[in-house]
Amino acid sequence: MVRWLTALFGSRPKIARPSPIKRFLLIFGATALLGFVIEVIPWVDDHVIKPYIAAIASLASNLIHVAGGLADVNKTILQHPVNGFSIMVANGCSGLEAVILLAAGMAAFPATWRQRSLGWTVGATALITLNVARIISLYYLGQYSRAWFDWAHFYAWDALIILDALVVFFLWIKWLPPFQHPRHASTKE
Amino acid sequence: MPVRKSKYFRRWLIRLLILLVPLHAAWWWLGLSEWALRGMSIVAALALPEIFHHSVGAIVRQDNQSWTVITRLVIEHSEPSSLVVMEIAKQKLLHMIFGFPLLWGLLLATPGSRARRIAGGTLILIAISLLGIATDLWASLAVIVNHQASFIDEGVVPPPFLVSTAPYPQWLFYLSSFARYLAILIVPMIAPVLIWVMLCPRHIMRLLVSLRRRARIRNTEAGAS
Repeated sequence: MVRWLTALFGSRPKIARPSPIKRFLLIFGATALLGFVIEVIPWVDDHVIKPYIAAIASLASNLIHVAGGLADVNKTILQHPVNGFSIMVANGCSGLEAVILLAAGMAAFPATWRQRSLGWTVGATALITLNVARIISLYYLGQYSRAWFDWAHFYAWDALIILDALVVFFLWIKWLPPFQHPRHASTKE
Repeated sequence: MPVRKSKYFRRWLIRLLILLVPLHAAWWWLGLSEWALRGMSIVAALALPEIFHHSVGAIVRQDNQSWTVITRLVIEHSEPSSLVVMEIAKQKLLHMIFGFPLLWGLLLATPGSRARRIAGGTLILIAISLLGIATDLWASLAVIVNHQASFIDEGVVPPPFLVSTAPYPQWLFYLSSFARYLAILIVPMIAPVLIWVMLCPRHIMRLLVSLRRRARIRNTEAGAS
């Protein structure tokens, strides 16, 4: 290929290497897009996403019970047995979008696969834990005030979760060993 | 050669967290979000009928800050023939623009020419938000025109009437649903961070170097002991 291009252009063609930030943004965008495409495949939605959401709703209900509160769970719906207030944990409330963005950020940053795997595990755990806290807080906030529930649900928690993902990402970078040249950093251990 | 310990990241993070409090207060409680919505409605009233000139006639802002979309889609068998009218709720519009305080916080916490970056970043985010609203509108129109529920969002179902317009090809219908999913759930969340990365590349590199330097100090100390 290079020989063919050399014959065509008269000298070895110079291929511009993208700057580290451009390279990061390209890999990040492509990986995140792939993650979102996989997330919306109907089979994945039925067999992975919905059971996962039911599991986090059940976890939130168990935690409310442990703390002395009341909550019944039916698949993805959390309901108060006395006042009847209920919330449904929908697809957009799974926290998986932030996990995909964080995972894509770690995939795009120069590191070994072992470092990335550890980052994905710890980062996903941190974000899922925060999301369970979000569900519990919304469950109680909704019983207190509809206006505050809407504000926290639609705006505040989304901002908090992306901020959390950003901080986890920076802490992961801080944890990484001294800088290696990107060309060598992506090699498998 | 000894390496000086850097507190650059910690200082940046603290500055960001402190800035986010007044910015969010101004946005949500001092009425900045309402003014932003008014401004967006003016831009949308000009831009969206141009983007969807076959299907959108006008965008009208209501007193409750929701938007009424008067389409060019004619309801079948309606006497006299009536057009489809849709509403974009204030809640959804506010969700599409909730990233402004975060963007301003990120840009203000970053050293450099803040005024220029904030002006540029705000303009980019306005364009992205408008594109998100346009994408949501496109997906809503696709659900009405194809008379088919969205394959991603179970709550988005077609109205009880048909419209006299040729349906979108199936692939375009799916694409509109996926684009809406990105526009509503992902873009408002990630856009401020990406704009910040694009506008402050030098600072990001400095931040990363600062983080890696700390790691090098840790390793050096561990080696010495």
